[in-house]
Amino acid sequence: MMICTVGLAGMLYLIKKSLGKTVEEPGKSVPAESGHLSPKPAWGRYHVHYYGFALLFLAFDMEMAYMYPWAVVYKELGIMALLDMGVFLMILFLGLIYTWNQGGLKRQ
Amino acid sequence: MSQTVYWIVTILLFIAGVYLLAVMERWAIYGRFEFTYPVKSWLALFGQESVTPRKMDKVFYETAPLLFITAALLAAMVLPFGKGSPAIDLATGALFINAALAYIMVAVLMAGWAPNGVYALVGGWRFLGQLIAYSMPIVMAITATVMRAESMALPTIVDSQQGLWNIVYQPVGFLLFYLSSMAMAFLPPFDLPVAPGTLAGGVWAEFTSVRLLVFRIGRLTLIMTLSLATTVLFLGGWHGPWLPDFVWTFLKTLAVAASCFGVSRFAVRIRYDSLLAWSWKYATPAALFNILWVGILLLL
Amino acid sequence: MNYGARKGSWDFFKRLTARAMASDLSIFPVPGADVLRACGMHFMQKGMSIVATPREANVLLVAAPVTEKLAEKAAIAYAQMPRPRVLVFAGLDELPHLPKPDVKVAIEAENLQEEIKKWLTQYAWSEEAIPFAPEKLKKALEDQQEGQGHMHHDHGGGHDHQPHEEQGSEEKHQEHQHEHGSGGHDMGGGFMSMVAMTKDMPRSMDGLAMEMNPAHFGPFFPGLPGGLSISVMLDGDTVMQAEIEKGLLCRHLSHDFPAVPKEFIEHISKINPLAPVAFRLLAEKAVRNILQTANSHYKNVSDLVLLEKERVLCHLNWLAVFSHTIGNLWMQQKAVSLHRQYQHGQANGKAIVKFAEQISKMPHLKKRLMPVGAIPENLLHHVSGPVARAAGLQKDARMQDKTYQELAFSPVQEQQNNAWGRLLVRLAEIRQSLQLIEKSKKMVDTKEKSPAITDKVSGKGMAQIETSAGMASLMIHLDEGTVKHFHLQTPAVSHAALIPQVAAMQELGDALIGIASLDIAPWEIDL
Repeated sequence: MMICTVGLAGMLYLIKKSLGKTVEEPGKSVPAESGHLSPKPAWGRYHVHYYGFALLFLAFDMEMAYMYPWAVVYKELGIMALLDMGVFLMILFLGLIYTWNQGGLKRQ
Repeated sequence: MSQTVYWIVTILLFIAGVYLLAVMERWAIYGRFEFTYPVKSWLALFGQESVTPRKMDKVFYETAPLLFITAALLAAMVLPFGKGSPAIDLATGALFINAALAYIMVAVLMAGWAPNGVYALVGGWRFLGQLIAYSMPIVMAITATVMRAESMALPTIVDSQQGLWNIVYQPVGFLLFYLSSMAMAFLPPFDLPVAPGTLAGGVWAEFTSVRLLVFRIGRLTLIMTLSLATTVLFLGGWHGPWLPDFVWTFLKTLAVAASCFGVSRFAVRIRYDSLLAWSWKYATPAALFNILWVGILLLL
Repeated sequence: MNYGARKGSWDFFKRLTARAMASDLSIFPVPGADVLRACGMHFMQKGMSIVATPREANVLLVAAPVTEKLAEKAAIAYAQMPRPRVLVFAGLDELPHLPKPDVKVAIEAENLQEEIKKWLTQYAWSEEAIPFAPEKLKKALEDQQEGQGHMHHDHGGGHDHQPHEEQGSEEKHQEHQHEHGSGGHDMGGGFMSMVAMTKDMPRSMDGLAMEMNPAHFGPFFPGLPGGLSISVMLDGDTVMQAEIEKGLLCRHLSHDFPAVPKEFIEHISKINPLAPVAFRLLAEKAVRNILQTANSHYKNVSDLVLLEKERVLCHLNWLAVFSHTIGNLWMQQKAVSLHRQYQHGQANGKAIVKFAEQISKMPHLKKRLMPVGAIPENLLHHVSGPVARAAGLQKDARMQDKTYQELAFSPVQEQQNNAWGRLLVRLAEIRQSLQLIEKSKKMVDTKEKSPAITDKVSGKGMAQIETSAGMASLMIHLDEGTVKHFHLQTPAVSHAALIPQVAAMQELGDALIGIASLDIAPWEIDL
């Protein structure tokens, strides 16, 4: 499947190539900035203003790894499964509420 | 019907779906149906010169569009169109969709980083924030459908909806999945990484010619895949009277996609940080509630 | 055409793609889509669309007025467009910095689409294609490189593609080394010590050391009025500083002006291409005040109708830009189509009123706009127009006008000092203007001739008018029937001064929405 996709894309690129080379011109390779020559490379220490959410996300995403197998056997195990996962999720949920309470759920 | 015919029919339907989605996308912007538009605009992109930005990250730049479309197609592979499903029948199908679609974010982030321009960079990082917002609800909604089917295999999930579709059984889950998948496909109102009004193209702005074409078709494929996933997980997949199974899947998928474009035409772009706040304050608790809800319903 | 064509000879597939391109024209408008709309170019027809970035465009459409500086920026946008690209001048003959146009049409020309199509199918590929390399652009690029120590490579044309791309990764490497060199080793802290590396970096609001990115939004930014250019300092996606880039639109209107009053009035009307009527009426009024002759009632009423019609058009035009900034596709399309219809005298008021109502009821819109674009209380006295009226100030030059008083006019008001309030006020004003036009039709009067302005008079005249953006006032000095000097105050100047306050410390999207909500016509700033 992946090979097919990449192959297809490769074909597209080849067709494109057959249509001619890019004419090199001054300014053409500068990223477009609505009529300005963008002043410098943009790479740097970028300030993501959502790092609080990101930390929370890590905790919850880990938990999802347990959720899938749990979900498959849930009906089999019955009420015990619900209680087990309930306690686990409650602890995580308390974490979420704590973060909310501490003002973590807003733009930093 | 033999397996090969099924394969061909499914692939053709998928391609037809992507094409129709392109028409719908155009409608969402200009409010009119132009059925030849996709062919023309795709051909036009072929003719365009490919301009590459200076001081870019070449590996990221070349990989991003390919990774984007590959991730969308990979996820589509496991989604069954019909009963004698030609899709790869994975025992962990539900998990696999998730894993494949996670690369969408990676591809967009790469596309934002690679050109080394401010507009693209901001768009890329915005989308990472968007992922943090949409991924929890989408994962938890899928989990709840897995609970009901007692299996991660997608045909089993479809079968579990025989009597009652998941959209009725767990409406909260459906709503969360629907909105999150719109956010994942960055359709308006979640079009933050490419916002034409605030980033003038954003992450896609520095991609021209075939690379942009791959991105555009990739996005349509992604929407198609996500609509198909919505159909399979919540709308009873191929279940339906009179018509053949794959026709039902196709029609439902198109309806979901059309409704997505309908919503996106009339919505106002959301700030990604309010999206994050909503997601964690309301959507994640609602998703947990949905799991609890399904859990109780299953025990009754 | 050699600057727009791709190099190569025709073959079957190329002809096919060229035909496809011709039926899917992506237009990058210069100076902006709003200015083109004001000139009557809406691009609503099939096969044409306006795009947000030159990278996606295959047509660069330049329409008057374009200044020398703006042409320089347009040349950059043109250079950044991938070929094949068509340069179209509408209502212009030639411009500095840009090459000769591939297609030249009159403003509002019917044959625009046809001409561009013809060009694309004939010249999209040509063996004579040569690089577009104006001196100014080359120099600007060189200057930029000098300013940045380690970026000494020549990025101009001349070498082919492959080495160019490799160069990129090489430089990335150098950059990393540079970073390590100045940080880790010098400080004596551990290798790559975070504290040491970030020592000299600017601090964000939360005390983290981050690198800020300078960026420009404008003059051809889709989410802002055409010609308006904002330079910002971005910390992540938070706008730390924002200010307007001045001098781009300088047309020397305040220095070289005709002395004959009649021509002078024409001259003033050229100030803002988005609102020519308002400025013409302003100048007429000022001249009339010197003559101390009252206008006929008929003329007063017809002036009122003209002014209010323009207000409706301007507000719709603003709405089209604003809906782009906030990202609503339906509103954008509808605003453009109603603007076009009303401009051609086809739209009935009811459709427009209904549209305004639908907007005010749109879900989430209120919540989205309420926290955006507040102006500090102590600066509120500088503002006028819808911005002031949204904040609850009863400021409106129309209240002093007798004709308006006869119609029992009272200005629209809101108590919302934010983008939402401004949207509401403008929507209400659209409705009000339509009503005013209706009412004034009923005012029966005989047609009289206005007194001509030919007398050799001297004196000073002052006039005020409420343009769609706010109050403009003009003072002129006539000496023996010739204009000696004039002084113009426009709403855009005071509103533009608020940009730093409105945008600072806001998320990028919010900052842009806030700026767009002020409805700044950059033309009124650089005369």
